[in-house]
Amino acid sequence: MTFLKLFGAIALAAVSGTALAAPTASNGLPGWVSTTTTVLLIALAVILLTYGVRHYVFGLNRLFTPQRRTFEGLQVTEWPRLVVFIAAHNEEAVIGNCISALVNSDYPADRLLVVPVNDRSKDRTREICDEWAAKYPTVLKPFHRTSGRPGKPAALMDAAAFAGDADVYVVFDADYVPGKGLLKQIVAPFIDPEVGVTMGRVVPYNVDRNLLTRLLDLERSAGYQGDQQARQNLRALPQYGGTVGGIRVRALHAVGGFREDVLAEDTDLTFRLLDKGWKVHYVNTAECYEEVPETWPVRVKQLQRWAKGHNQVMYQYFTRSFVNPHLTLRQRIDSLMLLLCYSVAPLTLVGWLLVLLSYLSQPGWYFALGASTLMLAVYGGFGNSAAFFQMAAAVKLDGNSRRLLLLPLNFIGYIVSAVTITRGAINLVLDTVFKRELKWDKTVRFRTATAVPEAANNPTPTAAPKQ
Amino acid sequence: MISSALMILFALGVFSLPVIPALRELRRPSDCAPLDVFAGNAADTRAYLDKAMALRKADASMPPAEVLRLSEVWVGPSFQEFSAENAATARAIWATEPQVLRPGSISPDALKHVATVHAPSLVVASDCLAEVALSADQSIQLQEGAFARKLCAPRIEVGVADPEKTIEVEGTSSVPLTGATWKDVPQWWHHPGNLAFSLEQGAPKGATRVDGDIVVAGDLTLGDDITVIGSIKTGGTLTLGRGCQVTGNCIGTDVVVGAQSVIGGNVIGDNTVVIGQAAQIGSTNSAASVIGTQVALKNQCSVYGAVVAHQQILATS
Repeated sequence: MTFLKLFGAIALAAVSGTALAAPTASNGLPGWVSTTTTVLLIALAVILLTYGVRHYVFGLNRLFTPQRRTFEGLQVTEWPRLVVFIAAHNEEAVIGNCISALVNSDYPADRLLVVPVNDRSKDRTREICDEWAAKYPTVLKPFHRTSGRPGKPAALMDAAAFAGDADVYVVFDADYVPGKGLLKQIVAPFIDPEVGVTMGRVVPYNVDRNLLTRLLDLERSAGYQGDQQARQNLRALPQYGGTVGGIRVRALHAVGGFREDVLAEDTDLTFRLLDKGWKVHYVNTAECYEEVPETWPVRVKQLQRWAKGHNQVMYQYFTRSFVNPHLTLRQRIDSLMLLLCYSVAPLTLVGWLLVLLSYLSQPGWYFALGASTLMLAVYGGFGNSAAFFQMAAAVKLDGNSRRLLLLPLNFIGYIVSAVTITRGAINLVLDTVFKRELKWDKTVRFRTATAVPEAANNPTPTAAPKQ
Repeated sequence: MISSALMILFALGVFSLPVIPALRELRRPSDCAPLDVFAGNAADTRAYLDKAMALRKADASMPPAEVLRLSEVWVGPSFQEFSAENAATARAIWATEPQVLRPGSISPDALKHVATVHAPSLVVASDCLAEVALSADQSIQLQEGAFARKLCAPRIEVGVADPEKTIEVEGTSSVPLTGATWKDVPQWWHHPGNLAFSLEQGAPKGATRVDGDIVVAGDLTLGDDITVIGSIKTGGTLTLGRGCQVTGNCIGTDVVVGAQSVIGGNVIGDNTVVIGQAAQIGSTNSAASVIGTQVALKNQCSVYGAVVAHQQILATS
C-alpha cells in the first residue's frame, strides 16, 4: 500500500506539474513540445513503475513466502516414455558432456531414449555421437540430419518423426549438462493433465571467466530463482525457454508442432499452448549447467536474436493473450507483461531522451520541482533498481551473498542489454518492412574439450583455460 | 561554479562508493563457483544404498566397516547395533533383517547425519517419529499414531490393510460430468469454479463412470462410488467420496480420498492429503506416490510406492 500511495503522489505531482507548465514555452521550443514530452514521460513512467512493482512483488514473494513444491519428491511412479533431444549444429566441443550426463541420469533406462540431433554439422559432432551410441546402443540413437531447412525448430520436427512414439519430449541445447535427477524432476509435473510444458533451471558453469560471465550468473539467478519461481508460486505464467524443458507430445501435436518461421520457437510454443488451455510448470530444483557467452560480441548477438524472436511473438499474441479465456486475470496481466518485457529497454532509452528534451524545453523552476525530476527519480531510483532488488533476492536465496558485491557493476550489463534489445527491436521492424528473412545465428562455444565415452561417470565440463 | 563542481564531485563520490567493493570482488573473486547441480541427489534417492548394494553384490564377504567406508552406508543385522561411533561417516543405515522401529530404537545422536534407513521390511511403532527417509524391500507397516517424513516400499500400509484391489470398470456406463464442459483439444472436462458431482439418486453403486481427465479451477467434490477413467486436477480442494475409483492421478491444493477408494495413479496435494480408511493408492503392477505438505494415512489404507511429506506423515484412525 505504501508503494501505491507513493505512485499516486508521484503521478499527481507530475500531472499538476504538467498543467502548470504546459502553456509556457521556454528555451526557444514551442509549448506543445513540452506538453507532449511530459505526457509521454508520464505514460512511460507508469509502464516502468508497473514493471518496478512487478520486480518487487517477485523479489518479496521469493524472500518471504514458501516455495510451491507440488511435485517435488516424486521418485516413484509409472514414468512416461521419454525422448530427449539434444539440438546440435557443429557442437564437437560440448556435446559429449551433455550425452555423458544424460546416460548417467536416474530416469528408468527402459523408458528413455536420448536422440542427439546432429543438424548438418561439419565438425566431429557426428563421430562423437556415434562413439557414444556404440557404447549405449539401447538408450542413445543419434539422428544425423543432412538437409532441410536450417534452425532448431525444423531440426526438432524432423527428429521427432525419427524418434517414434513417446509421451514426453525433453529438449537440451548441446552445451547443457543436466544433473543426475533432472529428467525425473522435469517430467514429474506431467502427471498433472493441465501441464503442457515444463521448464527447469539454467545455471552457468563458466562463471569465473570474466566480468560478463559473472554478471550473467547474477542475471540467471534473477531470471530463474527469482522470476520464474515467483511466477510459479503466484500461479502466474512461468515461461518455457526452449531448453531444459519438457513438452507433452500430445499437446505439441495439438498445436501443430514447432513453428519453423519464428526465432523464439520456445516463447511461441508457450503462447500457443496457453491459447489451448495447457499450462507451463517451472521446476526450480531441476538444475542444469549451461555455458554462458564469454565475450560481449557473442552476448550481444545472442541477446539481439532473443529480442527479435520475443518481439515477433509479442506482435502475434498480445491481443489474443488478453482475451484468452483459459487464463485468470492475474495470468492475463502477467502474459502481457511477459510479452512486453523486451519493450522495456527501448522504452527506458526513449524515456531518458525525453527527460533530456524535457530539461531543454521546460523552465528552470519546473525542472527543479516538476514532473521531469520526479520521472528521472522514478527511472533511475525506482523502476530500474527494482530489477536489481529482485536479482539480489535471488542470489541471496542461492546462498551466494558475496557475489552480490558485483551488483553495482551490473549497470554495465544493463546498458549493453538496453542498447542491444533496442537494436533488436528496430531490426525486427526493418526486417518486416523490407521483408528480410529471419536468420538463426548459432551461439559461439568456449569449451575446448568434450567428454568421451570412457569418461561417462564424470559429466562435469572442462572449461577453456582462463585468458 | 565551484560549489556546482563540488556538488558534482560529491555526488560522483557517493555513487561510486558501492563500486569499490564490486571492483575488489571482480579483481580477487571470493565467490564465483558455479552452483552445484550434481549435489543433493544422493540424499533424495537410493543412490547411497545402490552403491552399497553394488559393493555387496561384488563381494558378499566384504566387512561392514569396509562397505561403510566405500559407500557411506552402514550395514548390519539390526538398528540396535548402529552406534554413534558409526554416525560420523554413515549417511544411510541398511539393516539386513526385518525391523521394528520404536521410539529410541536408534539414538538421536547417531541419526544426526543419516538420510535414509533401509530394511527388508519395517514396522513403525506408535508414537515413533521417523525423521529420516524409510525404505524397505517388501513392506512398511505404520502403526496408528506413528509419524514419518518419507516412506518408500512396494507396499506401505497402516495397520493391516485389505488385500490388493483392482479398479473395476466393467458393467459401468459412461456419463457426462454434469456442470462441466468437455474440451476437445486438451481433451478434458473443465469447470471454471467449484463443482460437486454425485450419482443420481437410486443409481446402482459403482455403475457410473466419467471418461476423460477432469480439470476444475476451484473445489471438486465427487460423491460415493464414482469411477473416473483419467486424472483429476483441481485448483482447490479435491474430495473423493467413499468407494471412488480413479485410474489416473489426483492433484489439488488439498486432497481427500474417501474410504475404500482406489486410485491407480499418484495423489498429490500442495497442502494436506488425507488417504481414507482402507483406500488404496497404486498397485503391485503400477507404483504410485502420495505427496503433500502434511499427509494423513488412515487405518487399513495402503500405498504401493512412496509417501512423501514436506512436513509430516501421520498414521491415524
